[in-house]
Amino acid sequence: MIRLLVISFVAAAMSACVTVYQPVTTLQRPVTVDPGLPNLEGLNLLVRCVPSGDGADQGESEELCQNMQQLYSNQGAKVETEVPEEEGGGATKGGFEDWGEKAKPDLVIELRARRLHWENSPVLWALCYASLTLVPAITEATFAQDVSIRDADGFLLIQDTLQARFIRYFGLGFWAVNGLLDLLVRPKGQGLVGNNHKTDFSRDFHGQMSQLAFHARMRERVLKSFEPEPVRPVEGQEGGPPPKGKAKKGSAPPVTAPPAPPTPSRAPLTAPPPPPPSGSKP
Amino acid sequence: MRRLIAGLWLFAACTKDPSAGFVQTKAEARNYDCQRLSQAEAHERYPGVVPEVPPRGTYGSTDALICSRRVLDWGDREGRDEAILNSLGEQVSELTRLATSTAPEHTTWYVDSFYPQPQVAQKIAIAARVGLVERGQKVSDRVPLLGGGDIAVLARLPPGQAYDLACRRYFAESVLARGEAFLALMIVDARESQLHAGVCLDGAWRWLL
Amino acid sequence: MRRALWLVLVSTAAHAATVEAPDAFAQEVEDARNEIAAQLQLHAYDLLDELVFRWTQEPPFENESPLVLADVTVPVGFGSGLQALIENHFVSLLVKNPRAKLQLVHCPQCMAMVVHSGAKGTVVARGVDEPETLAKAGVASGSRHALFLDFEAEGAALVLRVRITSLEPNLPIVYARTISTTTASPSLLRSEDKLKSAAEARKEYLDLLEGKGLLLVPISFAVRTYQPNPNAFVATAPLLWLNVGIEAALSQARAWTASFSAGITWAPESHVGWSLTGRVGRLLTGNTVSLTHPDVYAYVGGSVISMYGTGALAFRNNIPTPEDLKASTGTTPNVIFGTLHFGLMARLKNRIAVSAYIETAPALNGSPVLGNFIDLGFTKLQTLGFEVLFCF
Repeated sequence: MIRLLVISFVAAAMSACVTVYQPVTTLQRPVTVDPGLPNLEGLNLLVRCVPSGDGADQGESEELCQNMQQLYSNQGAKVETEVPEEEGGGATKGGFEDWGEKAKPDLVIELRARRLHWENSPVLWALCYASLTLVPAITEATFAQDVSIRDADGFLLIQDTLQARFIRYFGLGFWAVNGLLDLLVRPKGQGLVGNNHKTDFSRDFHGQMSQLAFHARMRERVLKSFEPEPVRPVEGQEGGPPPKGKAKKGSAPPVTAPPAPPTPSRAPLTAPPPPPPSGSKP
Repeated sequence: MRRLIAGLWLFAACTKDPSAGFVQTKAEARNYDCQRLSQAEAHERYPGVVPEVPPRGTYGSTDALICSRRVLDWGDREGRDEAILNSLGEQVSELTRLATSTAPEHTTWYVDSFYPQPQVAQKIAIAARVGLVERGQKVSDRVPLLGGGDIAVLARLPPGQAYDLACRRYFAESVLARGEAFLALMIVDARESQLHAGVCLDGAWRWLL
Repeated sequence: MRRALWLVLVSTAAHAATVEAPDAFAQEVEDARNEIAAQLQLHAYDLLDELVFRWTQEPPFENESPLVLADVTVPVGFGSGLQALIENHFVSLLVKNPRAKLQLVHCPQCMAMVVHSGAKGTVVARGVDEPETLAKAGVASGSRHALFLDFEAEGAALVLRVRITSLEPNLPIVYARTISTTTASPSLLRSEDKLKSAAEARKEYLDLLEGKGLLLVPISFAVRTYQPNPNAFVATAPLLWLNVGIEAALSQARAWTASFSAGITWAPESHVGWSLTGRVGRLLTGNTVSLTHPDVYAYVGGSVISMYGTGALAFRNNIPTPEDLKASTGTTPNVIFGTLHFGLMARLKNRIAVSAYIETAPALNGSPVLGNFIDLGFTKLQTLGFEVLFCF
């Protein structure tokens, strides 16, 4: 009986992690585009996720690119991804310079991750074990995601950095108290235990990436003085490029049954009429 | 050291960590603008809070997370307005820098902004006027106006055509003359929270950014 | 019937709660808004102080010039209350700083709404916005310039944009400045009639923060209480102590302190005692002392206590026998022992503090008179102490 209790306690203690997410820079900015609407319809996007040592390795970069492909595809864009094998930039295999004219991307989105801060105190870990996880061990990390968006000619349209801080508390006491607070005190959506940090970060990150892409699109249109966008033939139709038989290096494998996006509007994207001038002072 | 104290006090809030926790909600934690600085730099800016770097150095690298509480919480003002006002100085500074390079010296500038919310539009226009004067430009506080009929027509046109036509009308109606330029700041889509700008000079409209 | 009545009561209570909740929420929002406005007001004052200070160093005009305060705009979302406070402070600053060479004048035509009809149409605007109208109507006040102050909250910063416009038909802007601050930096709170630069104000703040000197003289009144041993037939009364010492800051802004003090205790017909105490303390509530909040220190220390008199007999490892008491007649029993203690102290602005500590006297672990508050096994904590300190 005692052995069972000890094993249960150890099992509970091992899973007693609470991760707190704090947006540091830019991620908490309000988002005015709805990622569920076809904000990027008709756009060709190339998303490059550059691996870097501390920030994101090859596997994480590929996962990020798949994520971005899904995000932008849901908004009506045609997305290709590329994960260079080595950091260093320059022309990489499958880069947009090798693309045919008809399939040339309108926007190239480059993502680079950096780890800004890492803290993990061995003293706290020792205290944690000595107190049977009543005293939490704390691991903290701050990451930055550098985003740059260029147009087809390489002109830099948008550059921004998204920073997030993750603090992981490992300890049964901390986890239990927060669990109770989530259950009894904190309103819905303000809980800390479980996967709340992932949900919150995803919401913020996807929102900001959608907003940045939309801003880049609008800036590109402004810089081209609102020239009419060329009509692109759809793949497989007459006059269009043949469907690709082999996936390009770095392209995401076909995902199975993604959630169905809302039906995109057939009408072309037009800006609303300009608001009346500010004129005389109110 | 702070983390150790937090551990010893178990659930104490004495570390003043800006992240969500026992005494701070997630919504409150979002109302901080934070940046990481080296300890030396942080001590220079905040001597009462961050201790000086010891003369013999520290074991391992130390830095400081400096968080400033926002004046107004996210959500107090409408999202798009807040996003624009949050970086108003930065955006307007870049646009005025571009504008000054498009017009010859001794040009008199007129400024106006086109934004759905009149109070925010006024703030944008004021920031642009002050920014241009600080760059050594001659700026008028007047706003060039077109007749009601012109405005009614312009309101129905897409932005690509409206501003260009408005510019030609300013000169046709002698609202603007040679040696005078009009800087307009606006958004072109209701879904964006970044400002664009264009300059009307000698009857020709030019988009800046 | 009772169940129906219960349901009615519950629904009524729920409705009352629902009715109360919006009012309570609205009150909370109003309180939060007032608090933000108060903080904003201080920082707005700082910006105005900085602006007028710069004008005293570099006036915008060579000669004293009349100026109309045309408009004060506050951050989007704030109302006219804050606007009025800012105006009053600004007027007060200009009045008390004539070196700025600006004289505010009242121009009713400038602020009034005027209607001007012409070939281009009818325009309704304020006088400052229609200088042609002003020229026709005549500017009796003699003001030639209008001043505009605009405040905006941009993230964590409050930004002031100032412009001075000449009241000519073209309304040229003759002066413009942008001054910014952040809400994180403490308000400099300069005196209106003795403005100083931000660097000078910062130096004053640093001097105040780091303290006037390294040494303090604490005087404390302490009570040491002892747990009676359950098997003892005598109990030890609490001892009152008066301690005087000296405390030194070991690091910047008193984050680490060390103190040494001498104490005396006396009870008539019972005992006299003296003590020497050394302590080392560490500030827990930050890395520097606070000017506005109590500081909490944790400390450890040791004492040497010497007790004289019959009351000292309690501080022995054996029960006083009648022979001990007979032998003590005519002589003064004396006991010397050492103690170790640790505790917490809450101090306000290095002036007054309260402290509580727990103490062990290892030499008295076997005392038949003294009980233990906490028995740690390897030692016993026999004494609970409370102190009030006054620092000079």
